[in-house]
Amino acid sequence: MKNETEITSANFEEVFKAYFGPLCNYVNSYINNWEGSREIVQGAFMKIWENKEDITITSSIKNYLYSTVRNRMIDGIRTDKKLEEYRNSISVDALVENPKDLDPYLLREEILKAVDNLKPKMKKIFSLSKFEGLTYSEIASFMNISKRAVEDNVARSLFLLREELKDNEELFG
Amino acid sequence: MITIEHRLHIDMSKVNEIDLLRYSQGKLSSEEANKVSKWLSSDPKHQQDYEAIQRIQSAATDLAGHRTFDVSTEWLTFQSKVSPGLSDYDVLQLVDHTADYKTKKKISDWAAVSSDNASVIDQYKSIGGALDGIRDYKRIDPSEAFEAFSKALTTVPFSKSPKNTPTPASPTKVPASTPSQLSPTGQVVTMKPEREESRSVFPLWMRYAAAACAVLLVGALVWINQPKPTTATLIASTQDEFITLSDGTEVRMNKGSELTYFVDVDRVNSRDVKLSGTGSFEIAPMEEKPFTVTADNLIGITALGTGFRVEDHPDFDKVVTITEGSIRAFSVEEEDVSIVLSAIESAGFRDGGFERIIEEEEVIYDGEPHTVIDVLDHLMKASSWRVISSPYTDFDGDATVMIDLDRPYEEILTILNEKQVLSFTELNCTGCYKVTKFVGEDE
Repeated sequence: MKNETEITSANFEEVFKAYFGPLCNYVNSYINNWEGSREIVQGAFMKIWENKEDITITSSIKNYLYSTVRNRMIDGIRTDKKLEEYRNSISVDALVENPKDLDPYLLREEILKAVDNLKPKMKKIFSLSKFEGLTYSEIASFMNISKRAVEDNVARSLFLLREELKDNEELFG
Repeated sequence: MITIEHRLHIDMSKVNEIDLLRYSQGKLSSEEANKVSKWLSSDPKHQQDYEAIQRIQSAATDLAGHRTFDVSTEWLTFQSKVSPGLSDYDVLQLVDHTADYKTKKKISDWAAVSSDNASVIDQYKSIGGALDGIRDYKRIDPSEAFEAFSKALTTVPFSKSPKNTPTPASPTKVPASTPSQLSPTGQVVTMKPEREESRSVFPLWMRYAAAACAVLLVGALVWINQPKPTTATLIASTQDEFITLSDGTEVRMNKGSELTYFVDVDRVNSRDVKLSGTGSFEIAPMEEKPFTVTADNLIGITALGTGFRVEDHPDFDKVVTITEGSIRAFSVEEEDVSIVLSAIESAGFRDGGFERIIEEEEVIYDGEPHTVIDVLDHLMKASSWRVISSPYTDFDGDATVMIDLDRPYEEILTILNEKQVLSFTELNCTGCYKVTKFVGEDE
């Protein structure tokens, strides 16, 4: 997807599926409302779909989507009555001037996919550590293995994750 | 590097370069050495030549002992000595933010060795940063999200081949002018007649005598063999379906209904469609081409720029209700049996004749009690997310309302508005509404 700079009928579904989840999570990190996040992102994609012939992407699809969704979120926070409750808790100026990056959200999506490819035991240990927040001691106790074994599994998982993701330039810039 | 910056001025008839070389090596006989010595002293340039040859010889001697190295290999060797590499455990501490000073320095030193190493560390740091927030990350099924998105669109985005089996779905709109773009929700069958091609070949001797006849004959053949317009059939097999015909007419079909229509209405003289079941029509104005709906081969409805609904009814074979403009409804079997209706009249057809139906204005609030929140949930799902609402906190979570949720969602909206439970405004897509807490006209 990195080298594509055009959103067309042919690649629209692929683009949507690749970015919808990370973009929703990105928006939700600001407004903490999943329904609102989906609406904002879906609305952005609708607009893109309707105007896809007229869109000129000068950087990358990722950057274009990021800008579109972020602007839509900013407008929504400023004007949408539905998001009024966030108007006071979110500094729109901060959002405009110092926005969060989208890359961590894209990376999280890919990490989750890559974790699915780990062997079951390694996946279990890694998930308990990183997704459930258990300490290594707690995992060791839960799985009746040594703490060192837990550490080895998590370390090995990190190595394998990096191996799977390292060539994805879009994730690491 | 030794460079010879002047031309040699050796008189080859007396002394040659080999003599000079051997002279420098002390390998000449006395007589030969004297000869060279005299030659050298005869001209300062000769001495310069001799010195140049000596320098070349010296460099050649050095090169004989020169050794080349594979600098890439040497560099790797150097790197391994400078930093022995990181273990998985080092990386784990980096990602977990538990590395002590010694480990951090080890990592830093390793990263500093090369840009590749630095890149590896950056990637692990990025992964670590992503993992820090991953417990708050919600994984959204992209296929489900895309399906919901597709249904919310007023037009279908992609070209797919016609499906012969219906799939469960929510209402979508299908532009009828592009038969290859089909609703993923309903069943659209595009039937193309076989194209008959023919050629006329006339014997040469007839060319001049029958030229006019040939032109007429070819013209007739071309007319006969015009590609016949295609028709399409939309079946609302499991859900209501929306469709926009090529002339802009909008049709909503209830679940279980079937509509056959001309795909390219510009190529027909009249706009004729066939409906089986229940459908609502908003006819696009086109005075030169009347729009006629034949409903279950019982009645026909001819309209010009009007809106109407044709449906089944327990007491009639068919009922027609006009929402806008006027129509003429007639019996298919006997066209003279007809009725003209204007908005907002209704007529039922039975026993071969039409009867006007006079609706009472009273609205019947039937159904079961539901909380407003449950009704909102239902509205959003039943409309395939065409209905959106303000945050639920705007509504009284304990309030209940009597409503039949089997009604079409737009009817539910109307009823709840009349009951002053909610207000709704149309959005910029067919069947789309935004629901808010009830706002009276005076507010």
